[in-house]
Parts: sequence; structure tokens; C-alpha cells
Amino acid sequence: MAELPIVLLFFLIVAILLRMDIVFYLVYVLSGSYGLARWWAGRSLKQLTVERRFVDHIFMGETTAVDICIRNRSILPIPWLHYDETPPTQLSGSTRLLQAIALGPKEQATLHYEIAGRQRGFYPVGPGRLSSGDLFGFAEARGSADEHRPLVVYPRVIPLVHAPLSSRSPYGTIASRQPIFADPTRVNGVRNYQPGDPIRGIDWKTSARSGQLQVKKTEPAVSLSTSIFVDLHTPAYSRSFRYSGTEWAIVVAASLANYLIEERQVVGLGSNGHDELTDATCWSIPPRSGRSHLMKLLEWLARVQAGETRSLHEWLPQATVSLAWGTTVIAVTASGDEATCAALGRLYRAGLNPVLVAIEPHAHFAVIKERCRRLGVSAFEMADEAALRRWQIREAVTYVGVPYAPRAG
Amino acid sequence: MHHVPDRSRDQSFADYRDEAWQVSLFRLALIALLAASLAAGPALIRAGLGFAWPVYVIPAAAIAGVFGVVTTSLLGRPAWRDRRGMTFRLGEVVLLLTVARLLVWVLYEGWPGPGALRAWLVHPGLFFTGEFLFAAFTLMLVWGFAVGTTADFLDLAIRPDEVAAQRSRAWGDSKSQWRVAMPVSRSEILQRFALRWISFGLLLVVCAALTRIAITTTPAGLLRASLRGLGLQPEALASLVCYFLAGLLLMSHGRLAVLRARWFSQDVEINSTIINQWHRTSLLFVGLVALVALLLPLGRTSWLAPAIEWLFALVIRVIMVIALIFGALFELLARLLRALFGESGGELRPAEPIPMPPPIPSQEEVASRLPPWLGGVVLWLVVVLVAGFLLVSFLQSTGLHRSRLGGWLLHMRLRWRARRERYGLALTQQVNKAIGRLRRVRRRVSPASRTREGMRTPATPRDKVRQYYLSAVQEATERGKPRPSHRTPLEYARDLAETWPEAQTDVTGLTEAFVDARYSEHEVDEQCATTTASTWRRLMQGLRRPPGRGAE
Repeated sequence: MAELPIVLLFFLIVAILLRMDIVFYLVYVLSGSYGLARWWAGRSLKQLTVERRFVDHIFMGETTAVDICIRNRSILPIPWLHYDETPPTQLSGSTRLLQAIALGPKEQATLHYEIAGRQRGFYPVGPGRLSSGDLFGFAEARGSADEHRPLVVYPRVIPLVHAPLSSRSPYGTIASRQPIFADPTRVNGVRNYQPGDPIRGIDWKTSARSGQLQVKKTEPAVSLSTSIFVDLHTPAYSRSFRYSGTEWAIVVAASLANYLIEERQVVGLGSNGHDELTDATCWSIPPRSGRSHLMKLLEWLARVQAGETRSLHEWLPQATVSLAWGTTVIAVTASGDEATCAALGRLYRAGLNPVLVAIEPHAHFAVIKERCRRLGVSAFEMADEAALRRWQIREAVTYVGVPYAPRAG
Repeated sequence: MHHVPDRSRDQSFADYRDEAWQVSLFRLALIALLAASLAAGPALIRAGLGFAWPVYVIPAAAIAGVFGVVTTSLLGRPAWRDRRGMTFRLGEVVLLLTVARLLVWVLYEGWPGPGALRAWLVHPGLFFTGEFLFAAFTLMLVWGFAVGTTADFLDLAIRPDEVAAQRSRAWGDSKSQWRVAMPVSRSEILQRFALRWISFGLLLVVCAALTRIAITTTPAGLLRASLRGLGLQPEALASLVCYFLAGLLLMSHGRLAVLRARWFSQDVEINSTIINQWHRTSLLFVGLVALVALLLPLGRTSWLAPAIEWLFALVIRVIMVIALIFGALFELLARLLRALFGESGGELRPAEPIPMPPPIPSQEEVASRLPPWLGGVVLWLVVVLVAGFLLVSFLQSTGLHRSRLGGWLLHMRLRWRARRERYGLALTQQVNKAIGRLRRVRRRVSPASRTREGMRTPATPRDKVRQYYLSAVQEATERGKPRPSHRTPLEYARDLAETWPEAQTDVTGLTEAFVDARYSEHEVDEQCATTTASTWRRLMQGLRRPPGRGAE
């Protein structure tokens, strides 16, 4: 219809020169329709408000319903509006929203589709693509509905009953069998004084009542202040396990963090992967306790992506500098290569409690385990979910440090 | 209302068609209105040339437009697929030309007399009068426009292959295997329609503008263009307005078709309110704009008009001055060249040859010269045959030959055939009577004829029976019931019994006796001949009564 303005100009000239009222009228009708239709089409998208509502944090396997409310603020109707919104491609199975609607003056319509959390990640939802136009095809307007909003799909969390992790931190909330970790705040009885007992251990009130010196019996307890480091340096993984291995490492880290938070311990997290939101690599979160902290850890684990960053053994000494003495450092990595074991051994010598969790199956893991044992590092192989379940129910065997008793129930 | 074909269920073949779109009466009416409005163009030119406004042209154009729309819509149906072709279209053209000719005869020229017929035979060009050519051109223009526009809008419908592609859900089933390549996209079809609409609209406005311009000569002999004070005919005004408003509405229809087809192929869920409200909204929009335009300043009341008029006058004057300067320079150059190369003072024009009288034809040439009407007769015969063939083909294609009109035409044909047969029979009888009279005269003159008469009298009872039968057949033939050559005597007897039911017994008896005498080998006795004679007499009496009337 590019010819229409030229024709209208010709009509106008004819009308003026020949003073023909009917041609004037035709010019008015055609130019009015043309101009009004173009103005209308250009204005219609500006008068739209689009609001997207959905639960933006879901766990894997859950589904979130996305409601898109489109409101026409204008007093003019919108004859047609095409809305197109494609869910993130990684979430295959989610329905693509393709809808054509008409909106009356001040009318509101709600479009609906669902996103299935099939894979952990940090996904942008939206923006929707809008297109509208006039009734005659003179003009068409296109635009975006609004800014995209993120959807976080948490990694899968496997609930653990207990974990055979050792601790070197006294004064915790976890009961221990080692008298060395006796906690003076956890008094569970008295006994007769024996020579050599410290004076500050005497229970003076009971001694006065009984007429003999009585010494407080205290329950040993440890704390399991932990920091989990997930190795997402892709060259560390063998080529065939590069994707599944890193994902499984994240699941293991999330499950351990969940378990430890449930145990009211402080948990930190670090990784040499790439965080999409902050664009950070080799990041760490200091240990904290509480569910809100767990959700924070899970969100970071949802966002992090493997990449060719720094290797764990290079970064680990720097990442653990600020950790308190006795903190358990769980390194979730592909396999216990010599460099990683050596790095963990240095941590042990620095007063930390390093634990190696190998993700990839290894034919000679016993060799790695023995190497770690000599370096003072606990080593476990968790190649799959079955191995994880086996690990949590087996007897706690410690090579270094002190095992703690599982929580009752 | 147009709905997108349902793709959710497995349905019959008919559900693959976009029936709702193809039979939208509102759109078809708009196309017919658009096409009929186009007739104002030729009528305006005609009025501009000083002829009277043809009152019949708009109604006739409306009929032609509806005709084109309806036939094209019918041809779009799968059941009419085998009728799509040049023959059908030419049949329509012949019908339209016939209607145009009849209209002109009825309204302007009167029915042609024998003198006119003779003139057409000698000079066939006289058949094509100016009025007829005008009517034919206008109706053909309108019809062609209606056909083209309807075809375009039919092409905008969702095609069965698109529906089939959408419904294919089989695993590994490529949707593209269902699709038929579309030679022109829907957007291009809509563009084509828009271009056609705008172009013809431009022509309409130009035609209207031409009626405003009066070209006169000044006393100095120069041509002068001025404006006529007369306005346009109300029919022309209405046509112009209807043309552009209907075109806008059709553009809206086309836009909807393009959008819905695009959405359909992209699997977009279409809210039914779009389609339900589309036509209402577009009608309201165009109506409001048209109403508001009425309130705007028109013609001389427009503030812009004097300024632009002054500007154009200035431009035209500048152009004229430039043209004058160039003309003067050219004239100066020509004179200079003439002065340089000398002027011969004008060569004498060769004397025109004296026209020679036409050669006088010889007597043989005059004798062998064909009659002047022969060429015209051959031409008209060919025209009538071709036009008749096309018309009959068209009627058969449309099924109109089975309608009331077709029944009437068939009745006319049978009636004409019966009349022709009666005339033929009467002629044969007259000829036979004349021959009989001649023979009788000869018999009287020639004694040998008596011998021949005696030889023709039946000698044997077998011959007598055959003679009686043949005599009865001749009588029945004279009474309008001849015996066709392919009918056996027994079949013919049934025909006679249906016509003269009261003589059924005698007909049967005589026929059986004849068959016996004609085909059997045994002897036929005299008694049989006597019985047959009495039967023949009764039958002859029965045949002479009018059919259906019993013995009184």
C-alpha cells in the first residue's frame, strides 16, 4: 500500500484544481482511514501493560504456572494482538505460548502457560513478543512485552539420613564419643573427684550437699562447620562425564548442604564454576546456618555452570584462607588426582578437616583412598545415587579425626 | 462469521475446506458492489462526451457483478473442478454480450426489423452499434473485475492441504509433505488486490475529473480549458463513494484472511473474539471516518484550496514561459538555417493522378460473383454456432438446463421439433397427393398403367394381410404417429395402443396377423385374410377418431 499516499496526493491536486467536492470527500475518507489506522496501530502497543506472574523459584520436577496479564489502557480497542513467548529451550516439554487475542477498550486478558522444571538452572522467562496492527494492513507494530524475569530451578536434593563425616571442631551441637571434645555446657552428671581433675570441674553445690568433692561429667560434642567446594573445572572431568559429572557434583553438594543445614550446622559453599548472574568465577560463600542460607546456597548451585576456569587445586588454598580452624572442607571433584590430594593434604596441615568426594567412577579408587589417608584426608567415591545411598548408611569409618554419632531418629 | 477450520478432530473431507470463508455473503456482496461501482467510469466518460447518462448501466453492472461473483464462487468448489476452463468463461461472456445486446434493443434501439437483418447480412459491422459496444464493454469490465476479485479472495482462504498439514500428528510425519506450494503468497494476493483497487479508483476519479473540464476555443482559435458548472450525476457520486468504501472494507477482509492463515500455519491459538468482532469493527471504523469526512470543509470552503490553486497556476505559467522561450529560440534557429542554406521557394507538388474509373467487369465475372449477403450469412452462422455451443455448454455446466428456465428451453425445443415434423409431414402429404394425381392422370392416359395396377393388387391372402397392415401404418403416419425405422411391429403396436387405447385389440390383432404373414412359412388361408380385413376396417375407423376419444 505504498502507492496510496501518492494516489491521495494526486486526488488532492485534482480536487483542488477542479474544485470537485466528491474528490475532496474521497481524499478525506482515504487519508483519514490511512492516517488513523497507522496512528492506531502505532499507539496500541504503547497503551498496553503486560504483567507476568509466576513462582520464580522451583525445584526440579516441579511446574510453575505463568500468568500474563495484558491490559489495554486505551479507550480504543485493539483489533488483534499476537503474543508469542517461548519458554527456555532447556526446559523442553514446556508449552510455547502463541495466542492471538482482541482487546476492547480498558479490557484485560490473561494468558497462561506452564513451565516444567526439568533441569536445574537460572533461566530468563520472557520477554514476550507482541505484534499488533490495524484492520487494513496499512501498518503493523511489534515490540516486547516487558523485561524478562529469572526463573531459578534448584538442583535436585537427595535427602540424607546421616553422613559419615568427621570433625575436628570442638564445642558443637553434635554429640561425640571422644572425651577430648567434652563440652562444659553439656553436663550430664557428676562423679567423685579423682586426683588430677581440674579444680574448675568441681561441682561445688553437689559437693556441699553430698559432703564429698564431686566433679561434673560433661558430654563430648563437636561442631561440623563445613565448607563445600564443587569442582566445575571441565578439564578435570573426563570427556564422557563432562556434563553428567558436573551435574552430579552439584546434586551431591546440594544434598550435603541440605543435610548439614538440617543438622543445624554452618555450611559454606564455593566453586570454580561460572555464575551467570554475577558473572563471577571461583566464588565462595562463608559458612552460615539456617534455611534461608540453604536456599541461598541452592540458588547459587542452580546458577553455576561448568567451564574452563581455574583448577581446584590451584584455587583451593586461596579459597580456604578465611576458614576457621577445624572446618571440614568437602571437595567435590571428578577424581582424586595427585594435585588435588596434595592441596587437600596442605589443608589438613593447616588445621582444616579435608574430605575428598570423587564423582567419577574410578577402577582404582582404593589407591586414591590410600593416598588420601596418608595425607590425612578422608576420601569417598560417589559415582551415582546408589553410591551416595550406600555411603550414608554404612558405618562411619574415619581415618583421621573423630566420628560423631548419628542423630537419633 | 468466519471460523478457522477445526484441527482438533478427525473429520470428513468437507471439514478440510474453509467453507465459512468461501461462502461469506457479506464479502461477496461487497465485491459485487465494488465491481458494479466501476461501471460509473465508462458512463462518466460517455456523459463527458455529451451523451445522456445511461440509466440502465448501474443496475446492469450490478447484475453482471453478481453474476461474476456467483459463478467464480461456484467454480471454487471442488465439485465444480471439472468445469473450470475457457469454455465456461466464454459461455459467460456470450451470455453477457447477449444480455447487453437485448438491453440496448429494448431500451434504445428497438427490436430489429427485416431491413436491419438484411443490413447485418451484407454489412455485419452494423450489428455493433456504439451503444451496444458501450454496454458490452462496461458489463465485461465489471464482470472481469468481479471475477478477478472473487478469485483473489477465494485464494485467501485456508486450503485443505494446510488443514491436513496441521492435523498430521503421526510420529515422523513431516508436515511439509502435506503442503502444496503456493505460487503467490497471501500477502502478495492482497497487495495485488490493493493495487487493482487503487488503479481502478484512480481511473474512476480521472473519469469524473474529465467531466469537469470543458475544452473550448477562443475567438483567436486557441484551445481553452475551463471548468463546467454542472455537477456529477447522483449515480456517479454514489458509485464513487461505494467503490472506495467497499474497497476499504474488502481490504479489511483480506487483512483478516492473511492474519488467520498465518496464525493457522503457526499453530497460534486464535481467540474467537477477533474474528467475531473484526467485520463489525472495520465497518464501524469506515463508517465513522466517512461520517466525519462529511463534516470537513469541501471544495471552495477548504482553506488550502486557494493557496494550492495559486501555486499551480504559477507553476503552469512558468512552464508556459519556458516553452515560449524555447519555441522562439527554435524558430530563430530555423530561420537562421534557412537563411544560411538558401530557400528554394517551395517545390512544386506533383500533380495528383486523375482517378481512373473502375474496370467494367465482364459478363462471366458478373455471373460468377457471389451474392453480397453470402459472407454475412457465413459469418453470422459461425457466430451463432459458436455462441450457441458456448451458451449450451455454460447452461449444462451450471445445471441451469435442469432448472425452470432449462425446462422452458427444452419445451421450446421439443415444440419446435414437433412443429417441424408436422410441417414435414404436411409437405410430404402434399407431394404424395400431387404425385398421386399425376399418376392417376397418367393412368388414364396410358392403358399400361391398368396392368401395373392389377399387378399391385394383392394376389394371395398373405399379400392381402400385409397390405392391410401397411395401409393401417400409413393411416397412423398421417395421424401423426409414424413408425420409426428402428421400432419392431410389436413395439410399434404398443405405441399405437398408447395413442389409441380404444383400438388396442384391433392393433394387436392386425399386428399379429401381419407378423404371421410376414415371417411365417405356413400357408395363410383366405379366412385369415377376411378376418384381418374386418379388423383393419375397425382399426381404420378407430384411427380416424381423435386420439384419446373412445367409441361413441
